[in-house]
Amino acid sequence: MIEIKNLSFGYSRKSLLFRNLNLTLQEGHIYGLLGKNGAGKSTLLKNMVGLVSPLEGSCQVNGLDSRKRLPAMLGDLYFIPEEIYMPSLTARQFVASTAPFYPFFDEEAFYRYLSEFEVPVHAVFSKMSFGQQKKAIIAFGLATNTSVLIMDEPTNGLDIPSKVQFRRIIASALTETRCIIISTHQVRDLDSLIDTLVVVVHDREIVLNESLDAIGERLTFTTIPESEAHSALYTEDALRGKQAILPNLMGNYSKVDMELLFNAITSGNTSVTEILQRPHYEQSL
Amino acid sequence: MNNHFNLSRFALLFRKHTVEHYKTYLMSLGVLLGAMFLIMGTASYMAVSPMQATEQSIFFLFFLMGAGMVFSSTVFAQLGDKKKAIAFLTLPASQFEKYLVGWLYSFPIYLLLFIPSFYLIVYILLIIDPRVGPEHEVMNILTSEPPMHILLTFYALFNALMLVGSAYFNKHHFIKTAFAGFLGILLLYNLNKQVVQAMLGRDLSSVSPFSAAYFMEGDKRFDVGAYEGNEALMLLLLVVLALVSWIVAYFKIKEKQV
Repeated sequence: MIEIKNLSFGYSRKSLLFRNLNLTLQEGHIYGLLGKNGAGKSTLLKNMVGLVSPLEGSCQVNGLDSRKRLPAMLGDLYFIPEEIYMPSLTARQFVASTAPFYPFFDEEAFYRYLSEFEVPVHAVFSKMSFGQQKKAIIAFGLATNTSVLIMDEPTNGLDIPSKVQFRRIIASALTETRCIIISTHQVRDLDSLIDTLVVVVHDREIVLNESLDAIGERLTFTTIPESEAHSALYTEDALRGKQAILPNLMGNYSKVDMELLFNAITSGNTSVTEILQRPHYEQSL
Repeated sequence: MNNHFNLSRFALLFRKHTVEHYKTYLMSLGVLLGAMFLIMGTASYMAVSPMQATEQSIFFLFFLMGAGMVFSSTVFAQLGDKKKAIAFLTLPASQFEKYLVGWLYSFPIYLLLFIPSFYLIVYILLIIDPRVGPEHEVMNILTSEPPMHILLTFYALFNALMLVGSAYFNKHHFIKTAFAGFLGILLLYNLNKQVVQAMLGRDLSSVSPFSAAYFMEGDKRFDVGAYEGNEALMLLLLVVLALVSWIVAYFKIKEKQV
């Protein structure tokens, strides 16, 4: 679906943002691309879409080189940037002018998503609030039925009820042939939505590309008394004791606390990533 | 489906561009009509006699080039706005088709709209001018000076340069392209002068590119040039320059990064 091989990118060769990056994203998954501000999430997404060209290496979407921006590639990919441009058209006018470029566009689904998001059909996009515009373009992106849907900080500008709607609609739109990539720095917005975590850190490396199931099998997320904090891989103060990440020695599935895991990784704690990157058989020793 | 050009996809793109821009284009046409009416009307009112065909052709040249250059500089200006550029570049059409829509609007469609608009204003001004008799002459663009093919060649060159500027610069496209153009002319003139002076081995009064060198010997002025009879070659040079600039504009769009 998306295959990045030995990708090096920078706005100048002297200061590279990514060096020899490798990443494979498969259909049937909702990926959460996490990273702090400035970690390079948007730049990575732009490489995937072909809005910037890698200095070395390649990025392929469904086998096509993304930098060429061929219609065959763009017709099966929809990108929603963090800041969007909406023309002075109503939803129906926008469908008439733009939907024909997407061969699998589902008009009925588009109006259904708009209704679920409570976006008025007859309003002119450019006159809507930013949050309404964002919901309208998310609805359109979902209705294109492209095999790849990439969203950069889609929950920015959405109110709390809209974020709940967003999670529900995205979860319902995932199919076995679709790959959805959502970048955010607000980890809680993706709670109970994504199935695979991709974490980019400040030195522009991908330190994690793992399914939540696999993470939950290797790590335990729990609250422990302060006296047991020394046995934890990572802890944070909580109201009662400490929120902690421990090695999952018993193999019982533990629900992943994404925010805690994200904080552990971005704080430079290597013991967590070491366990996750270790081959599976070592864990049982 | 062809990844470089597909007629039905191009038609969709043309329709989308028209739907999204027709209000702005109609307003721009209204502004042009108003500006032509005011400027030509004032000039005609202040003049001692009604506007003659020669004056009309001067206004024609001035408005054709001026308005055309301003309009051409806006065609790909959206690429300077990150939000619009992303929407433009990620739309599933080839970069050639996107370029072609902009070119069509700024060259043939602009000319098709400008010429009747100009005549409309000229006829209105002549009708409302009480000094104009029934036999008053109206310019004929096919026979007036400068000839139409020269006008079109120059318009093509200016259009191509403005398209390059509108794809290259992120802001103030017209001003920056015009400034770059003047800078380029200044540079070309001086470099050309240095080269010709070195070739002839003497100081020269002036040397225009692709033209003649002038120098003074005592009180006598001498022209050294091979341009007489070579007008067609000069015109061809301008056409080639316009074609190269159009190609450059296309590649600026194709390689654009946001």
